[in-house]
Amino acid sequence: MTMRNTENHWGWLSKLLHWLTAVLILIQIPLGFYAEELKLSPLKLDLFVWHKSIGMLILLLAIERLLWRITGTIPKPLDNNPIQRRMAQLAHALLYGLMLALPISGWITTSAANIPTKLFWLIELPAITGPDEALKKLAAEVHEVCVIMLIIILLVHIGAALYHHFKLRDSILKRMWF
Amino acid sequence: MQTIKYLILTAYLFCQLTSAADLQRASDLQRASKWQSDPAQSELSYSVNFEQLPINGQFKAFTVDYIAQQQLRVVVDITSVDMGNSDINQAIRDVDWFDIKSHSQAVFFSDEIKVVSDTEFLAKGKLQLKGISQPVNVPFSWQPSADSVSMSGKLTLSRSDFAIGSPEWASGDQIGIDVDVSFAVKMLKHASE
Ligand code: HEM
Ligand code: HEM
Repeated sequence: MTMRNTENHWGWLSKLLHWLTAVLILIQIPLGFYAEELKLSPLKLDLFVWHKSIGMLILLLAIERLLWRITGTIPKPLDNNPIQRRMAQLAHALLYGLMLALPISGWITTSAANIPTKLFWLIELPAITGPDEALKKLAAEVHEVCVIMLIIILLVHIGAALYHHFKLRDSILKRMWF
Repeated sequence: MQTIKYLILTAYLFCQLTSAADLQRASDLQRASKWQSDPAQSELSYSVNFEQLPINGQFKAFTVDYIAQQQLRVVVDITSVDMGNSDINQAIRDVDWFDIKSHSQAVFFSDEIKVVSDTEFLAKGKLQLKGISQPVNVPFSWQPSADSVSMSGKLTLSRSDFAIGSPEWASGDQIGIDVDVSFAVKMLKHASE
């Protein structure tokens, strides 16, 4: 398996980045909801450090993925139906957008909330805005709306992958797998 | 002759006494000069680790009274605490932290003032915070200018000495145990003098 993508195959770097991101996001969403629900406690603060750390890692992986996508080729769509092809493209574009918008809105939220962050208790995350109660509220709002959009699109995305695999019996899921 | 001798002696003694009294009064005045903080130009802040990075807080209302080289008294309105985040501001007012409903004031009262140098002093005394009294030393510098004095200093307190933070926070991993306190106070001559 090559590192680069070809006309018909995903290279291992794209596959690795896709599945690494998938695992992290599937941890990140319940982690966010759970940490948010907890009442103030040492566990809550620790879980938010994890949440912010994993979230910034997702941002890094998303940027890497987009750069890799822009500078290389990607396999041709397998969908014959032009509407389905369009839908898939739209969903993928939205997923990329959300992989950027979620971490950035989260980053603005903690910065505006005046909370310092040391990612994985190792690397200091600089604040991107000064303390600002109104901005914090707005950014948290955006973060939450993005979360809901992400969940919906992921359900469609995963549903479509399974539909292709089990119903259409094409090789879409297989070609993303290793 | 006897009377003259007596008069001279009396006059001499009187002079001695008055000059001694003058001296006494002068040094009393200097030592007893009373000072009070100007709240508009004074700051009392602290810094504590939050998941390994410092966050700051301040007490917006507090007063400092000082009788030069004799006594220092600081009264802090705990309800005026501000950490620049509404969630944190709410949390620290809770019983687990400052418990402001039961303990709205903290008071430091010196037992003695040690002179370190012309401008450096050490107030040894007790701090009563959250209903707990602990011996605390407050080092401070005293920099006079034309009509006021800049008083400033730094000290480190342990929040566990004052039961600030319920037992679940005892490790200090999330919220540090050591709290760095610093103050910069503008002292004015007490109005009554
Ligand atoms: C476990 C659940 C997931 C499954 C089964 C899955 C499946 C797939 C499959 C089969 C493809 C390949 C489409 C093709 O070759 O045309 C794909 C692409 C993609 N997936 Fe997923 N995925 C999952 C989770 C995620 C997650 C969590 C994200 C990110 C939020 C994500 C984002 C993407 C994106 C952006 C593409 C398009 C890649 C590109 O064109 O550059 N996927 N996914
Ligand atoms: C793809 C990445 C991310 C996902 C999927 C995600 C998901 C979530 C979820 C599900 C919640 C709970 C629901 C809500 O209040 O919105 C949440 C809350 C939160 N997240 Fe994220 N998050 C991500 C990245 C980040 C990053 C990078 C940061 C900070 C650097 C962050 C900071 C926060 C904060 C501060 C909250 C609480 C918001 C509030 O006070 O209402 N998140 N996140």
